[in-house]
Amino acid sequence: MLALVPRDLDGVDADASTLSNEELLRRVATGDRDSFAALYDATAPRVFGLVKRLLRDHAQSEEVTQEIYLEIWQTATRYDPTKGGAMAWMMTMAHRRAVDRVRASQASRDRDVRIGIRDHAPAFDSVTENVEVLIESERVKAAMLRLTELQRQAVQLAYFGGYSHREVSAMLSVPIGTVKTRLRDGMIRLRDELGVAS
Amino acid sequence: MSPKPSDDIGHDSGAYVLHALSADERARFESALTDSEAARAEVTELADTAVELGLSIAPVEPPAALRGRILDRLATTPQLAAVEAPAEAPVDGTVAPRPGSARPGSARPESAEERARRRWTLRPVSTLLAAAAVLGLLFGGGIAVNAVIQAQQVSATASEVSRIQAAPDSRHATVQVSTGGTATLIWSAELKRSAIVVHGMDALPGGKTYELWYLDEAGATPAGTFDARGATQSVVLAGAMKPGDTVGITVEPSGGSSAPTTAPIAVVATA
Repeated sequence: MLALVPRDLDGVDADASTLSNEELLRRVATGDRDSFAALYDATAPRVFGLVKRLLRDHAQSEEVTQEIYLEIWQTATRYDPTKGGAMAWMMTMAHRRAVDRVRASQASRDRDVRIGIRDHAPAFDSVTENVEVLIESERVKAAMLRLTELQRQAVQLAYFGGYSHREVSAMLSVPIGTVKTRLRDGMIRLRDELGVAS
Repeated sequence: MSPKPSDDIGHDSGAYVLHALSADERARFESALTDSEAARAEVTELADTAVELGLSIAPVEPPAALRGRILDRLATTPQLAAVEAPAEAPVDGTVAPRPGSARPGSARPESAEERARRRWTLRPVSTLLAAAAVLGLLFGGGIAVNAVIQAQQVSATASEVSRIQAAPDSRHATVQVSTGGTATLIWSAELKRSAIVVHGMDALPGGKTYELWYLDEAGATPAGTFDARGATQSVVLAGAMKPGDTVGITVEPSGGSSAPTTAPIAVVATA
């Protein structure tokens, strides 16, 4: 029964909603389902918002969100809080899985068609949404507006659209090498604007 | 003005953190990362910058039913064993405090390079080397890289198991293994994929392996081999599952057989 004591103690401070995401994730790694539920409640709107932004389709967004949370459950043992925040860990995983789904799904084949007709402005406009619409945070919005037009379009298509550099290259009618350079320069500029570097 | 990347691969860091590279490009980039501390530092910072973009998106409340569906699946979703020091192994369901674990404000400020280096030892398991390991594109690189790839294969399995679990038509069934332990099959007819989670199975003597089979009226199709390692283990079956297939486990000579040579020790029907 001694082994149960720590769990009982966990139960005492049961108001898991006051715990940090990092602490919740640490508890999840021990198989604690209540902490997992609390972590879900604290983070799911962020994760679902990101996934839905990329996938659009509601049913697919739910499926991918489920995949993400099951992966969080499975791999929580590998998370180390000394190496980065829990939200960053989860959002990185969420973006990767959403992009994987974009690439795997029919949507990507539909996109190929759209890319094929990229000269038709309406199709293009539908994916390069205005920064104003796309981004809620004033700080990130301001940083995005400091990028060059090409940097901003490339970063937007890649991150918020889930497009590969090849697709971005076709959509913006610039060589792949140029897209890669713009993505890198754009992200470095954002990093500096947002003060991400220590 | 951004610093010049050291070589051609260096240009890929932006595309890499935005998940915009193809699988083989990603593998090449990750392979190159192992040689460059500066590139790792850059990737860490740019990955954190990408997270800022993600957090700038307006949150959307997911449907209430999704929460229940996810929580319902936890019971049949095994967690990966911790990869770090055995001292931290949860013997009684608790975890020893980690040295230097996150106490906001108490940590000594680290340089970006330090953070990146430490992150590099963590990240592979979750994201960095997935494509490389799955595709077998990384060669050599010494013990560290091999260890990373092994860990990554475990993680790739976890990822596939969660995909099967999350399929709308996902089902599961648990049977006793006649030689001891249990086997839980998780499958999705739609994905034509299945994975088996074994618990408490004995390690086999040298020269023997467990082999998985898809069984139908026509006979048995090999679906991969595994050796019992640790208490709980997940294995994704090779090949495509057909509706109504039964999954069996036999003990076979090392390397596996093309047809079962012994009676099955566990059989799970999916019909």
